[in-house]
Amino acid sequence: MRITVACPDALRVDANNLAMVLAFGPPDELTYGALNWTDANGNLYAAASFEAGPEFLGAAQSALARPAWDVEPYTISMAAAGRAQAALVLWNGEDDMPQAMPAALTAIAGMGGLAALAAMGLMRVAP
Amino acid sequence: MFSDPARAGFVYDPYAAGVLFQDTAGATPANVFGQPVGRINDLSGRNAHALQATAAARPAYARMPVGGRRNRLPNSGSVGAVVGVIGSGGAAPAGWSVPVQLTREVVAIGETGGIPWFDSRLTGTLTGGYFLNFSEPTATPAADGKTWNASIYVQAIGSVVGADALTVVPNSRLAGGAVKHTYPSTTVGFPGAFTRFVTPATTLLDADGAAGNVAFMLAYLRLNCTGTMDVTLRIGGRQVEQASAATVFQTVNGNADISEVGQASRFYLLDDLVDDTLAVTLPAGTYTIATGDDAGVTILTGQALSAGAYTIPGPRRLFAGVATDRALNGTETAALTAWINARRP
Repeated sequence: MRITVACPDALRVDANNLAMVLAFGPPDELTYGALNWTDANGNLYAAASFEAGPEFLGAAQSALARPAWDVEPYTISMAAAGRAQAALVLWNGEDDMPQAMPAALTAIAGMGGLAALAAMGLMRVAP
Repeated sequence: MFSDPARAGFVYDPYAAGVLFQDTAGATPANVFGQPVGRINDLSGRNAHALQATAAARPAYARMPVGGRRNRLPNSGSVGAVVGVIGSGGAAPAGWSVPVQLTREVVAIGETGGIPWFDSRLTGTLTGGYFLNFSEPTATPAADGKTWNASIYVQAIGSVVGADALTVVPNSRLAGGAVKHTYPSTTVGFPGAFTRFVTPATTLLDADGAAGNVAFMLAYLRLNCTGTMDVTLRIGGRQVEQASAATVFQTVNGNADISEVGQASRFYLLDDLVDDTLAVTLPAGTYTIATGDDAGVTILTGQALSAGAYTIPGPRRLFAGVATDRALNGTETAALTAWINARRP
């Protein structure tokens, strides 16, 4: 299932810590990079779109555990990852699709990446 | 020609065996369509492998048949189907949409002549129409004035109890998925052999039906129920195409896996156009960079690159990429164009 996430500028560091918890390793700290997307109010977002198994959604909404690869001195800030998880708004496929917001990590599952970002009310920033 | 180790550059060919990996180390092959590609090995002999360490930013390994994709359904095969009662362990194929008024059971899954099918048994009590959608209502975007057809293979398995008509129906949908207009149907009946049925060529118009613009094309089977019923239908080969006439069935198992019996496949990196990239480290130089995508072969000459990471071009579908730090002559350009074209659909 494809999952597309819009991450506001203020949550990028936290969201990248969450990405390291949920994905594979330190390179996932770069999951949310350039602020290439904007909402109607001019707020900027980084976006990530990826295929994930059904277990991903469960893990994203369950208690977070530090990955085995992350040993002292730790790479991941679990506090930051927890803040990102608390800000996660995941579309459940039934209610109205959530619009991207500056205080939320907005995620839509089951749509193509570009369609999901458009459904969140985001447009690509002109280069 | 492009394998001179004395020159900088790369040759990327997703068609080649053993060049795609899910990870950057090259330990886990990407050999199933839809798997992420974290590394494509360079075939030029220069070890200029392109990498993506961040999991979410990896493109996918994908294929489509020569001639391109015609079946616009997101899933037309049996992927996702599980034998059993739907809701009690069984499951319909991905995208196949049936309402809950009847008990729905998948009783068998198979393939005939390259056409994947599943046997769907419907039991219960119902009077009137029962609708079996080819896909979710918002799965196939459409627009005003375009002509479509839909096709499906159907066979009645055993006797038909409690149903007196079966048709295949095209209609248009509004942006939210609600019905906009229903167009003339094709009678299916209850054939004893696995038979293909095609809707009439159907031009979807904003002017037809409910107010609002055409946003999606949906086709469905309409089963007319007459009371207590027990019907088993073998259903397969769902196809929706933007064309007047039906063409050979294409199996679509998601965007990354499209195939057609009797037709060669082409292999590519599928970019989500959101964040996917692959990068290679190159020395500074003036490069010729060639890529093959849906539109054709693009050869950029005189590309001055600084030393360091170079992001390989990421069109929606990248069938091949070649770079060399020199200009090409006419013969070389023609040979490179032909080589890339042979990898395009």
